[in-house]
Amino acid sequence: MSQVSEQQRLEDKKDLNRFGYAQELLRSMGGFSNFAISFSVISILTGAVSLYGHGLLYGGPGMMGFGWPLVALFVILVAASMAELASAIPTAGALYHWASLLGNKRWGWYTAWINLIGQIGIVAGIDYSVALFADPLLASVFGYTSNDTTILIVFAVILLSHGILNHVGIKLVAKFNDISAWYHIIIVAVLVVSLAFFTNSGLKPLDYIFQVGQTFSDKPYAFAFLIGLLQAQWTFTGYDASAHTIEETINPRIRAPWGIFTSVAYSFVFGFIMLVFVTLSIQDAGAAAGASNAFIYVITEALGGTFGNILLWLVTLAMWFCGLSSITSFSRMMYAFSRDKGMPFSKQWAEISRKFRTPAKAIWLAVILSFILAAIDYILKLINPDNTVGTIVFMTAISVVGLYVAYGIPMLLRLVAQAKGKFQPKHLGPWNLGKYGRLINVISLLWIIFISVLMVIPPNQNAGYALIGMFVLLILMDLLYYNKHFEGPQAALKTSMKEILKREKELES
Amino acid sequence: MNLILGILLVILTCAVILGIVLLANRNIRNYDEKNHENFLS
Repeated sequence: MSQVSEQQRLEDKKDLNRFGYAQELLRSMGGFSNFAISFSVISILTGAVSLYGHGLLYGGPGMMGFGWPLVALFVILVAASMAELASAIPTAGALYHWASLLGNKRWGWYTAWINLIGQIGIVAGIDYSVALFADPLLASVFGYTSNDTTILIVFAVILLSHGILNHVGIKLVAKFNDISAWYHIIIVAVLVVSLAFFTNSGLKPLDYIFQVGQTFSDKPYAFAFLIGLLQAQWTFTGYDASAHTIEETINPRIRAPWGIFTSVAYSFVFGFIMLVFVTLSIQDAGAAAGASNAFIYVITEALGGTFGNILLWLVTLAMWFCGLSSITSFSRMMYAFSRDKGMPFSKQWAEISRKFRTPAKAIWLAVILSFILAAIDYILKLINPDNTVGTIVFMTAISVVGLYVAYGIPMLLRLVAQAKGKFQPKHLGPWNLGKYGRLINVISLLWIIFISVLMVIPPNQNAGYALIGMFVLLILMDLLYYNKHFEGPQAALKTSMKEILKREKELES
Repeated sequence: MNLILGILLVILTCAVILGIVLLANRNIRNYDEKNHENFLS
C-alpha cells in the first residue's frame, strides 16, 4: 500500500467519523472499481437486452434510435444531481442519509424504504433476466423443456451464487466488477463486429432505427412509444451503487461522483452502439416482437444457431456479473439503514462479518427478499394463468419507480434546503455543478415525476398496485412504530469519537 | 428527416455529457477545502 493512499484512507476515515460513523467496511476500492460497480449494475447487456422485446413491441425500431438517447439525456442530469450530493455527503446510506440530513429523519426513513423496494425489484429483475436467458440455453444443452418452474429454480441458484461471493468479501467482488466492466465492453464489441460482418442477410440502412410510427402493440403509437421507454429507463438504474459503496472507496468525494456520472455516460454510448447494430440486423421485426425472447430471436436469426448461442452465453455471463454487483449495492444500503435502526431486527442486518468485513446478514436478506418477489409473481401466475404481463416487466417497473422516487426525494429536499438557506455552496463537495446545480436538479425532478407516472399506468398497473400496497404498509409501520422509535442518522452524530475508535479497533483486532 | 432528428438528439446528449464533464472538472480543480463545511443538517 503506498503512503499516499494510506494517508488518503486516513483522511476518508476522518471524514466518515465526522458523520458519527466508524470505518467498519474495508476501504479498498479505487476509482475504476467504483465506476465498475455502477457500470455493472446498469449493465447494458442486461436491461437493454432483456427488455429489448418490450421496447420493440411498443416503440418499433424507433425506440432504439429515439427512445434510448432521449432517456439517456434526462438520466444524465439525474446522475449529475446525484453525483453532486454524493460528493457533499459521502456515506453508504446515500439517498437515505442525504434525505435525512437535508429534510428530516422521517423523510430519510421513507426514502430508505422506497429505495429498498426499488433495490428488491432491481436485484430480482436482473437475476430473473439471467435465468430467462440461461434456462433456455441450459434446456437446449440438457434436453429439458424450459418453463416458469425451471426458470425459478435457475433464478434461485444464480441468487445463491451471488450471495456466496458477496459474503466472502468486497475485494473479490471488486475484482469481479473490474472484470465485468471490461467484459461488458468486449462483449458489446464482439456482438457489434459479428452483426456488422456476419449477419445472414446483411444490415438494414441506418435510417431504419429512426423509423417511428410502427408499433406491434394494440396501442396508439405515441402512447406505445412512451410505454416502451421502460427498456431504456430500467437499464439506467442502479448507478446509486457507487454511492452505496462510498465507505469502501478511497478518495470518495471525487471518485464516487465520477463513478455515478461516467457509468451512465459510458452506458449510453456503448448501449446505443449495440442497439443500433442489433436493430439493423433484424430480419422480421414483427416476428421478433412476437417472440418469447426477442433478443435471442434476433441474434439466432441473424447469426445462425451455433454462433448465436455462443454469443448468448457470453451475454448471459455479463448479466450474471450485473446481478453480483446489484446485491453488493443492495446489501450496503440495508447495512447503512440498519446501522441507524430503521428496519425490523436492525441489529442483525447491521452486523459486520469479522472475518470478511462484509455485512453478511444484510447480503443474505437481499437474496431472500429478491427470491420472495419472484416467488410471489410465480404463485400469482399459478393462480391466474391468463396474466399476460411478464414477470420481468412487473419487476422492472417496480424497480424503476422505487429507485427513481428514492433518487428524487433528496434532490427535492436539497432544493428546499437551498431555498431556505440551509444548504449553502460551502456544503458542496469538490464534484459540483456550481450555479447550474439548481436548474439540473429541477429538470431531473420533472423527469422523475414523468417516468414514475408512466411506469405504473396500464399495461403496468400491477406494478402500480404493488407499489401502492407497499406504500400503505410503510405508512402503517411508520405510524405504529418508527415514528416514535427511529432516531435517524442524526443520532449517530451524538456518538463520541472514543466510541467510534473503540468500534474500529474491535473490527481490526 | 427522422434520421437527421435522431442524429441531432444523439449529438445533444453527447454535448450535455461533455458539458457536465468540463464543468465538474473545472470545479474540482478550483475547489478549496478551506471553504468547505460538512453538511450535518
